[in-house]
Amino acid sequence: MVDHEELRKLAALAKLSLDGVDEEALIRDISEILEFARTVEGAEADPADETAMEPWPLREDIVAPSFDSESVLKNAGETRDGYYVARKMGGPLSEQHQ
Amino acid sequence: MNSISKTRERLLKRELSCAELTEMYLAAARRENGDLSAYTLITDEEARRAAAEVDARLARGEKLPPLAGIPFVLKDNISTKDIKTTCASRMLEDYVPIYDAFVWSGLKEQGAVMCGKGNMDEFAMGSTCETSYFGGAKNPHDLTRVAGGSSGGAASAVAGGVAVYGIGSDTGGSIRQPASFCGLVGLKPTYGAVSRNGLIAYASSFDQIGPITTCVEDAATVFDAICRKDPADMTSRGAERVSGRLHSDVRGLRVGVAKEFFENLPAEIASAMERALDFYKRAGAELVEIAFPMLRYCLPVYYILACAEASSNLGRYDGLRYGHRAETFDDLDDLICRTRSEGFGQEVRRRIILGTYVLSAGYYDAYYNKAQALRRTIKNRFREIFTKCDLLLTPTVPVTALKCGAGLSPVETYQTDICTVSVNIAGLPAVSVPCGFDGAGLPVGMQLIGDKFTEARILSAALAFESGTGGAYLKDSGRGVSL
Repeated sequence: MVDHEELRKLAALAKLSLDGVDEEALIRDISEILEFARTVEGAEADPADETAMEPWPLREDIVAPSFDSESVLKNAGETRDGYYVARKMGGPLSEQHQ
Repeated sequence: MNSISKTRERLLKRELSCAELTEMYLAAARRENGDLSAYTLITDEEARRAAAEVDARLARGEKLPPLAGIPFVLKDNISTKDIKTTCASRMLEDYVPIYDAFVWSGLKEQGAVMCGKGNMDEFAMGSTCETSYFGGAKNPHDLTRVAGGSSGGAASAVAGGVAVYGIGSDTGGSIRQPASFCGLVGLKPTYGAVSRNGLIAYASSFDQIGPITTCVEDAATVFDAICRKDPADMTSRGAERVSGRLHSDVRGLRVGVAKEFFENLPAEIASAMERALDFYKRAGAELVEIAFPMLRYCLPVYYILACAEASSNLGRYDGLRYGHRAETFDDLDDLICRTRSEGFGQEVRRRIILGTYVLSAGYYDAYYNKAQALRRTIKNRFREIFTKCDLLLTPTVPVTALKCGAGLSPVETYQTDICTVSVNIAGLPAVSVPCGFDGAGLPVGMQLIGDKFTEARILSAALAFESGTGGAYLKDSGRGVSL
């Protein structure tokens, strides 16, 4: 059900690299699971009843102290001047700046 | 195996101090963890801090809350400030939360003694604990068998006598299934009874925190300690306390039996179920035949929706803010892709790709929307079922503990969740209780499913069975601390 091209498209959407992955095995597993998931196709569902939806209560929007940035940045791989460090999108590494 | 009440009695009678008790558990945890892999981390410092505090409270003559001083294991997807929380993943191997989960914060206030973080399937995705980056937890009754998953570490620690009780999380059976494999009681509370604030998300509309214990009374005690309403989790509603309301009288109780749950069971599990049904009948309950044909759609509905939610929830791991970060990359996109591929294990990557598939244009209606419509339908069927009976009795798992490295395909593994996932789809409470053994002496569990917020009813029925059978299905692994 899934071929190499579709797998690569899905991996790109999911932000996963397929380097070093046994694509054949992954295709086999995904296809087997999708085949199993297709059981839902023939099932008959009750019509939607919007009035039956349970409303979740919202709390009041009150301004309160939050975490300090030093704590929040503690788990980041790279930080500078109180910010996360990312990389420029695209282009060779030599042209990128932090 | 020790119960909470027995352990508490020893503390209150001052037969041993909390510090002594804690040292016994920490030493046992270190000794047994090589065999069991129950803990991803043993938290000596935190345990000793809590124990000293409890001893000071005892010395001052303070009245202690029920869980004060009792050593326990906390599943490693529940955030603990300044203590690593790894989700048993390379992605979070060095992650140290900056806040406490609501559940942990409440337990800490009560004086609970955390001995360590419980091993688990990576990001709670699995049914054997074998997808753990650190290697799977073993079954204390037979080390060649898995402890189950995903809360396998918590179950292994409790059955292995290196924690008195465990706190796990259940998205599709992750408390009940390892409890069944390890001969323990596992309670999956009603969705919303326990706050998910600080529980690292797998599938948010299914996830629920709950206890794994050696007996029903302990499950009630732990549930009461954690079922508080939390304003920071909009789905949290809290629940009524159950401990004072438990009883063993099942006369007139309508026990629903849906034949669909009993199809293709191995003979030993089928006869354990027959004996359980016979027990309730003899005790004065009424057995009610129920039809639940929607069961055949529950597994696909669960896997479609849970994977969709997982693919969205796990999108946050990008290598920038926390978690693993790839060392070599070309650009931002490559950094994110490499980070995620290096940080996530095979099963997590597979579920993210599946979730991405069912949410992608062209397949969204056929899979995701259809599964949502069926989820609604399954909820409706359960609503009708609970007008005809008070609870449903089913097997917890159609197999006993699997051999380590059994080599099942993903679908074969998913199929072992057939009896548990419907509960999460409908947000219901359910408890797994030991009810027999297979030919190899491995525990068999039965599941009691109730309508929303009927934890007192299902736990009472479980207590009736446990006390009525004289604890015949409890089995000591002979490991760990014996008080």
